[in-house]
Amino acid sequence: MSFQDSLKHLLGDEKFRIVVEKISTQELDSNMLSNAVDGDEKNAFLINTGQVGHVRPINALEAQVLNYQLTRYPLLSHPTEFHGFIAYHNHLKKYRVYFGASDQPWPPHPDILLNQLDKDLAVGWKLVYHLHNHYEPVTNDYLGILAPSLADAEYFRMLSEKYDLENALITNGIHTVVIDSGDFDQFDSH
Amino acid sequence: MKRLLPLYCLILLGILGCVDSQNKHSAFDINTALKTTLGIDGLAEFFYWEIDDNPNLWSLNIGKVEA
Repeated sequence: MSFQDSLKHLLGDEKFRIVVEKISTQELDSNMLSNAVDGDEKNAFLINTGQVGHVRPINALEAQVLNYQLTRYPLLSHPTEFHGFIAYHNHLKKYRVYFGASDQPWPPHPDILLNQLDKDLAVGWKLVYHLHNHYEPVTNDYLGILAPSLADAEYFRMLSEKYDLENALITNGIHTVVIDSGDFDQFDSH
Repeated sequence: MKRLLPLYCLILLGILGCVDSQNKHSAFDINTALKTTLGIDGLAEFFYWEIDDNPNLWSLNIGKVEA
């Protein structure tokens, strides 16, 4: 059974539709930004008002990467976050998907991945995407927010400055938000 | 029966060719991607997959996520 089907089963059809719509909308009134009570809410409003980023259905590559982690730890019963760095080599026409995850709710320190990335960037690879997943506890209806946390925003900025990251991707298993590096400074961070 | 053997072979080759062609154009499959392990720390694992560029990687709505 797919994640979508399981979530629909847990929430019921109508609530599933409402929750998916609420999380993925980019049509909230832009005036809501001034009502944000903290940085996390401001970051979410930036996406949900459509001022920053583009929300679209999850794609095949993102789903395969997420599925790999879910075969180890199912998202609904043992939620975890993974790190994914996606590099492209223009001459070789190949992608490298660097992956790091554990059994913990948060992703492990990606030092090993970044050390390898340092070497690869020196020989023609380009960091085009950073991908990670968000989820929520049952009390928040499971589905992860499609916006960076304060820590995410700080991390994206670092990746842009040090590794020339082009885009950040955050997926919740149904939708993904694509954020251009030129917009990273608009988000609140630590 | 023997006279039909070449025909059977041609049909079989055709089927194999179609399957191969579909595989080449299927979406990214982690089982066929080249995997390089970078490290394991307890239950944490680090590696990279190397995959050929393929427009299907970015296909929408076919990315079914397991529960």
